[in-house]
Amino acid sequence: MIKVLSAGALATVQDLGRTGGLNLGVGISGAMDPLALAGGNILLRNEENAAAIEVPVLPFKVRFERSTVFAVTGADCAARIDETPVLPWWAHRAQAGQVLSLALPRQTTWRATRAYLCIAGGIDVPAVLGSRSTQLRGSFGGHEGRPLRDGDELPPGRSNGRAAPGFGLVPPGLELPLETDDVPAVRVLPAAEYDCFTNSSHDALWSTAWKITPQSDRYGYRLAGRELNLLRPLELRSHGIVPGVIQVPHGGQPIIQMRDAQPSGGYPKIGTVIEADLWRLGQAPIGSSVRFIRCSWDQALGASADIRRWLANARRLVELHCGEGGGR
Amino acid sequence: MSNPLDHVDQLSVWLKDAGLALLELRGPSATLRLVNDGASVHALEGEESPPVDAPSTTVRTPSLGIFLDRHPLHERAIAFPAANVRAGDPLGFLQIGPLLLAVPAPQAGTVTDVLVVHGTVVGYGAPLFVLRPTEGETS
Repeated sequence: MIKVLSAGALATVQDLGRTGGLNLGVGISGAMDPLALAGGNILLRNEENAAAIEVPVLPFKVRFERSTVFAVTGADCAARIDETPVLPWWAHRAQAGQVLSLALPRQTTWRATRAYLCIAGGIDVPAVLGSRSTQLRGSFGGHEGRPLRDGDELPPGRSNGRAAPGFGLVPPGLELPLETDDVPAVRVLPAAEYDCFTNSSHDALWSTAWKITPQSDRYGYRLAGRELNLLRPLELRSHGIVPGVIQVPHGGQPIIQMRDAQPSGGYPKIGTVIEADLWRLGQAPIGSSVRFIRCSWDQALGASADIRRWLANARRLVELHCGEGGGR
Repeated sequence: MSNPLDHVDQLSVWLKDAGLALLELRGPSATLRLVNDGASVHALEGEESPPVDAPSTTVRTPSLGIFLDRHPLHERAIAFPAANVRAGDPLGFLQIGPLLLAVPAPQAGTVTDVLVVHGTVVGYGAPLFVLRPTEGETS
């Protein structure tokens, strides 16, 4: 068992998401930084979709009721086990009764905001519709369909006994940086209504910075910047949308749909942040700026291949290091 | 023969230019220790140099890789001359692609020298640190 001593706010159990249900009106949920979750599961030699705790608001504190191997990935939160500092992105052993504390993120070499507490065997909450992710809108999945509270107890999954402490991974945020004019960037495909916007809106989209406002969360990020305007008023029926879609409501300030977005909407869409870059947005702090880089369909697929290659290489090296020859 | 203590300023410049971490001069009556932490060079005072017969331990790479003197998410080097370390503490890291391995201190002691610059590719068994074991500790 893992006992939550201090839940912070909006900490949730997440895996890689509940895919395949958008047509039924079931959103995807899942880790806002799926690369940090995948990295933690590689470090612990878990199955790749094992669930972890996403911690967006610090401080956060848990007690391990049994000895386990764990890793804290995502943002560097100056983690401590009892009073001893522990490295980020590193497999550690916790003894029964030890307390893990996460403090405010230290945004030194990588500006990130969400931490992931991953444990050997994953967090064993019941899978609902094929996923252990918390679906906040529908109040199901995860731990009782809600954010964690002080006193909650989470069961670890059956460990495969393969986790070993004592090594780490370089955070992919450092290995796969993407910036334009020194501002963190994400790649965007023009969306269905792109051509309905004015030229100056197109120019603003691609060549100015967009600030992530405090009205941003797992549902969506509201951005502030130059006004985006349609050539003429447009009425759309509600239609299916996916995380990454950049909608432009009246007022011209865009909204990027994120993991807990509802599966339909009716605002005009100017672009879509590619799936391979959503993790970058998931770690972008409120108040920071982001730039959009126009990309092609082939480049978007290439970016996904880059991510898969990074993960495969990390898994191969971890398996080699742990002596079971997962290489070749 | 001139006294080296009269030339600390010149020695400090040379130390910094050469990128060396530590200069130690021992004479019958005096000892001079200059430490270059990268930002500045300063003399360490009030610390006795180790007796000639004190064993120093050379910490070597457990693998080949790129030597990092800090965790990639951290800004400061972990081990620098005169840093006290506990047995098992990481002194630095080796990066092999996305994998990070620690270079642990084999025993408690004081770092007296850092032999490799952050970011250098090192082979298996390359010397990285010199450690003066804490008295009473055995290797």
